[in-house]
Formats: sequence, structure tokens, C-alpha cells
Amino acid sequence: MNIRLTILVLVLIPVLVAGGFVVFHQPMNAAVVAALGGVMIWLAYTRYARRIDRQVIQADAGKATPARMYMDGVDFMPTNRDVLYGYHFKSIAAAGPIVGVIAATSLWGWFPALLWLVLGVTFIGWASDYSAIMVAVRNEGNSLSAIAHRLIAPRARIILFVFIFFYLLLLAGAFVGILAGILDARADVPFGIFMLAIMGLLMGQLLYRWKANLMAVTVLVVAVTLGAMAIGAKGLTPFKGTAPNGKPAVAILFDGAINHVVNSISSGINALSGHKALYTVTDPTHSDPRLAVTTVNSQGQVVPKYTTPGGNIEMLPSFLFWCLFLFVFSYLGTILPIWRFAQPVNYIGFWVTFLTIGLSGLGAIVGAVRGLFGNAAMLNAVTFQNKVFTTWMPVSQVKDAAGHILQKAPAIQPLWPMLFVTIACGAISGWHALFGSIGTARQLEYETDALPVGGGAMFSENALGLLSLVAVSIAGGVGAGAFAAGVGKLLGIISFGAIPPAYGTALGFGVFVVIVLTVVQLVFRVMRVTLGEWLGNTWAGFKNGHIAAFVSMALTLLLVMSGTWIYLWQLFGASNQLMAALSLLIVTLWLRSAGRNPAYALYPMLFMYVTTMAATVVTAYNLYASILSNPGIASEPINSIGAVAMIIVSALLFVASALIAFDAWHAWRKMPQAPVAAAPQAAAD
Amino acid sequence: MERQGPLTVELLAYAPVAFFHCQHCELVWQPSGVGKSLRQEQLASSLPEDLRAEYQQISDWVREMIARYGDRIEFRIIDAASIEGWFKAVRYGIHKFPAVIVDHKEKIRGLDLDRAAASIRERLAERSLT
Repeated sequence: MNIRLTILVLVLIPVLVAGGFVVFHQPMNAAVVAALGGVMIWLAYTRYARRIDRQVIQADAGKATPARMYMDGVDFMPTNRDVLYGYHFKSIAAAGPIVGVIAATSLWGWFPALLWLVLGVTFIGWASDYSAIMVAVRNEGNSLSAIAHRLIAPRARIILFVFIFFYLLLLAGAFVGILAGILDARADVPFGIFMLAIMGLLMGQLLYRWKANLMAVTVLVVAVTLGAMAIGAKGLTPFKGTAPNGKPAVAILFDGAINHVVNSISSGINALSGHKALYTVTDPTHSDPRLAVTTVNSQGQVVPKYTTPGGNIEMLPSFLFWCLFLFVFSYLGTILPIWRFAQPVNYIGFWVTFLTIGLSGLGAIVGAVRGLFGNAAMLNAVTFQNKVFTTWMPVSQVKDAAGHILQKAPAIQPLWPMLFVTIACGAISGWHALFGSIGTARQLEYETDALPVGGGAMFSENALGLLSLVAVSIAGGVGAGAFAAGVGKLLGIISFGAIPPAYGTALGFGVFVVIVLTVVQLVFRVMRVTLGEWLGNTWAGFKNGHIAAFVSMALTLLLVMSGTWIYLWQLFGASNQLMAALSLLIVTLWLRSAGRNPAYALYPMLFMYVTTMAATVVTAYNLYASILSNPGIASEPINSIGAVAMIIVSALLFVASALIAFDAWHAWRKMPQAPVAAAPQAAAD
Repeated sequence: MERQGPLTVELLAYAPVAFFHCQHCELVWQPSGVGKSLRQEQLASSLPEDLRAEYQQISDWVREMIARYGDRIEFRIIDAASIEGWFKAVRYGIHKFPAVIVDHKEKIRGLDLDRAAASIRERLAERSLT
């Protein structure tokens, strides 16, 4: 089939299938998403990706890869492609495909999220991952930055060097913000995380010091952690009452000994401010876990626990406390030897995630198949409850109790460009490309393994993104709560009702926190070392690990407390997508220098570049609108300083993008006259 | 005669761990040396002293075997404290690490590298006869 026709077919299939359900007002369900995702992944891999691999890149199993040429048993090591695929997938699949999909579904509905997930991975995601590996392989295993340095300009490397710290800061801030919201709102979650830390410390001692039996230790620590995550559900009691306006309302009471202790801690902390909010914020995604939480007041009425009558979120001191709790957890991962905490926690976390998410995925398939074979209850269980589409541009403004608008300018979330930075991983992410170029390229045994490893892992992560979309959409709510409820539903399906929804939901929350937290602790570790390396010569204090960790966490706290996590997430998404655009840019230049058609990388790169730059402008505006244009919030120094800091980061990202594009344009123009001496293969072709 | 593939030698051990999902940072910092220090910092503290020395011994032995037999053998080093390591330990019934599994059949438990080397030699000799 002609390549243009192939592309047209790949675009039309998801548009017509998903669009057909929308146009004919048919409810979407997990079966259709699973079938559409499966067919698209198969077609994209066999009809498009493989074609690029053979005709454009011309992967050749006979060519020696850097792993075989420079095998040293450390960095360069030929590795079986099945093992390498698993290794690559494990390294790229983290919280991204879950968090981004949750936020995007809340903001714009499931339809745009589904289309971007499917089309993004088909035309951009796999291409970015696979090509980054191949460029590195053809350039003797050098990293992308070294190639960027040669192909574009020395300045590109310096620019990357500067914004990477902000990238980590944004990532840590976004994750800590959303996790603290969950811990503050759900008394059933913190105990599981506390036990994860205890089990991590115990496992480190048992395995590495006392050389205990691996199988027994694994069963012990994983079972205790899973049990601790689920046990909170034992104390949940639904309270059916009425709201102050007389309408029926429900509150979930967190009873039981453990939940009671957690509630007492939060309540004791909040008593310090007389249970008054420090300030209020608004969440345009409506996905903050605190928004849906209700409680019973002294008059026996069901009232919102965290939201004001104007719909804003009250920032209580307990939120700050749970941020500190997360910092203590991360501090252990940052300061202790890897074998003491970070490695065991990751090991336990991976088992917990593997079991819960794996079973949920099976639940989605089993539920969908049973539904298709006439089980109406099952079909109903896997039918999407969320909105198909909300609006092109969600708008939010903070109001007071009387409904007066406090924020002079509204915050906006236009579908373009914001959807494309909100869902990063799952569709495309620079993180993968960069990992691939450093690690995988040095272990690739044959060039022909690059597509199944790099492309295959990206398509697999797309499946994880689609599973998140299914989980959120069948639960019918918004945010991490909907994801957890969806996981609870799917676990109920796969266990044929043996796992009650409340326990499944508790596990869903626990897994979400674990996935995110295992990343956060390592981000702080990297920030700690980086600060020491960068600023250690300016002030020796930064070489002290404790001081460097404290400073990293203090800066993160400043950003977290300055507003809503979504802006941090979108700025992180923009910087992440800039990495993706940059890797595609390097691929484009490399293909041109090799005299090959760069179209498959060029057009996605242009789209990602323009989108990323536009997204930084929108996010900077939103920070101004939601914080600086609201006198009530801006009067708090921590808010205004944080907002200004993030606006500066947005500007830095924008300028960095512009400078790299400018240098790349010069490199592009020079190439036909003076080709860059790139890969040896390129010269030979 | 059909050409036989390399002899598979699986090595299950507690291996040093460096977290690669921060490689975008290393990518940028590598040329300036920061990436290297990040990796070194993690690797240096990824195993207690005794296990690190043990892993060094294993690593030296692997290099020696590769130098001796080249592409006639294929090593797979698996971190015992990983999901893959756990499944391999269950599959081969191994409770003590390190362990060497030659050709998916012979299991050598503990740090008996001489025995493992002998097993590799015997297997390769058997193959050359067939």
C-alpha cells in the first residue's frame, strides 16, 4: 500500500470508529477501546513503523552495533531483545500515562484523550523512541546531546544543561502536589505508604545484610504492603444524609482504628489554624482529590470537607503536613544507600503495581468479552460514564462564597496546545527517547532489534495509557479518585466479585501513590547530587547531602504551595515534550545529512515544537491569571513568589526552544552544501 | 549440519543498581561529567561492601569466560532482586545467591565459579562432539 494511503487509513480508523460512537450517540465501552487500541497498534507497527525501519533507516542485522563492537560488560553489552524490551518498558512506564490521562479526561472528555493517545503513538511516539535509539546506534552509542552538539551547535547542549534542573523541580512539584492532595483527602491511603517505607527498610536489611530467602522475603513484604493498602477500606462507612439545602447527600466516613489515627493527625494539625484554610485555590481540571470529599458537620449535615461555597479548594495546614510526610519518605530514598531504601521500595512497588495493574488490564478484557457475549451487567460495568467532550476551552475563575469573582483574568485550557502537553507519556515523551539513546542503544545486539525494543515498548506504554483512560471513564468521575474507582471495578471483574469494590479502590489509590512516589524519591536524589555538583564550588554547604536534599525539597514546597498542581504538571509536560521535539529534530537533521527522506520525523517534530512553545505561553498566562490577578492569593508572598518563579521557568523553556530551533534551521540550511560527518553507515549509503 | 546457537549461561546475583529513568539528565550532563557522577553515586551505594566485592569477583570471572570462549557463550546477568530474578529463582529452585545456570540445566549455587567454569567447558566440549 502507498505510504500516503497507509497514513490516511491510520488516521481514519480511530477518527471514524471513535467518532462514529459520538455521532450516533452510542456509549463507548472498554471492549471497543481495547479492540481499537489493539488494531491500531498492530497496523501502526506492521504497516508504518516497519516500513520506516526497512526503507528509510534501513536497519541491517549484519551491521555491528556498538554493543558488539565495544562490549565491556558494563555500559556496552549485547542483550537479548526480549530482555531488553522488558527492561526498556520497565524504565519508561511510570506515572505519566496515568496522571496525564486523568487530567486530560477531566478537562476535555474521553474523546480527545483517546484520539491523541492513539494518533500520537502511531505517528510520533514510536518514531521518537525508535529513532533516538537508531541515531545513537549509528553514531557509535553516543548520547543525543553529543550528537546535538555536533549537528546543531554547542549552545544547544548548554541550554539543555540549564533547564534540566527546572524540569526536575517541576516534576517533583507536580507529583508531590497531587500526592499530598490524596493523602490529605483519603485517610485510608497513608497507612499503606507508611508500611511501604517500613517494608522497604526491612527488606533491605533482610536481603542484603542477613541474606534471607528471596522468595519468602518477597512474599512477606509484598503481602504486608498490599494488605496495608487495602486495610483502610475495612473502616469505610457510607453515611446517607442531607446537604444544608435539604437534598440527599452521601459522605464516606473513615472509621476503623487506623483511619481514626490518620484522621486525628490531620485534625490535630488543622487545629493549629483553628481549622481555617491558609488560602484557597482553584483546580480547572476538577480532578483534585479533595474536591469530591464530603464530611458530616456538627448538625449532622453532609458538607464539603475542603471546598468553599464558591467551589474553591481550601488549603488546610494538613495539606502542608502531608507534603512534609512525602518529603520524609523521599528523604530516606535520597540520603540512604540505594540498597537500604530506594531499591527495596522500587522492588516492592513494582510487584504491587505489576499485580494490581496487570489484573486490572485483564479485568478490562474479561469484562469487555463477557459484555460482548451478552452479559448486560458486565457490559454496563465497562461502559464509559464520563463526558465524551466538554469544551474546546475550559475556563476557571476563583469565586468567593457569595459568588463574586476574585480573579480578574480567567485561567484557560484550550484543547490545542494543552491536551498535547497534558498527555505526554502514553502518546509521546522525550523521556523515553532520551533513555533509549543512553541505555538501550548500548545494549542492542542487532540493529533490527531497535524497532521491537524501542517502538514495541512505546506501543506497550500506550496500552497502559489506554487502560488508564478505561479505568477513569468506566468509574464516571474525575481525577485520581476515578482512576482508583475504575481499578476497583476492574479488580472486581477479574476476581469474579471476590475483591469488593471498596478494597479494590483502596488498592487503586495505593498503587497510584506508589507509582508516583517511587519516581519522586529518585528525582530528589538526582537533584541532591546535581546541586552538589553545580553549586558545591560556590558554597561548600551544597556538597553536604542533607543540605542539598533540604534545599531541593524547600524549592519544591515553594512551587507546590503556590497554587494548583496542574500548572506544574503542564509545565513539566511542556519541558518533556520539548525533549521529544528535540530528539525528533536531531533525527530529522541526521536523516537529511545522510541523504534520506526525513518526513516521518520532520512533521511530528514541527508539530511538537510549535505545540510546546504555545503551551508554555498559555501556562505562563494561567499562572498570572489564577494567582497574580487574584489579590487574595497574590498577597501571600509564597504564592506570588512561586507563581513568578514558574512564569520565569515558562519563559526559559520558550527561549530555549526558540534558540534550539534557530540553530537547527542554520544547520539544516548548511547541510546540502556541507553534510555533517554523521554515522559511518550514512556516508556509505 | 545446523549451526548451534551460543551456550546460555545465566547468572543470578544481587547486582548493582542505577536508576536509568533519570537518563534524560545524564544525557545532558554526561559530556560535562555530572551524569557520570550521578550514576557512580548510585552504583557506589547500591550494594553493601561484602556483596559488592562478591559482584566484582563475578564480573571478573564473566570477562574471563568471554575472553576465553567469545561468542560461543552468551551470558545473562540477572539481578536477583527483580521480578525477572524472582521468577528465575522460582523456576530453578534457587534460594541462595549468586547462582550460575548453564544451558538452562546445570545449577551451581553459591560462589563456586571454578565448578561453573568446568560445567561450561564440559557443555561446550559435548557440543563440539555433536
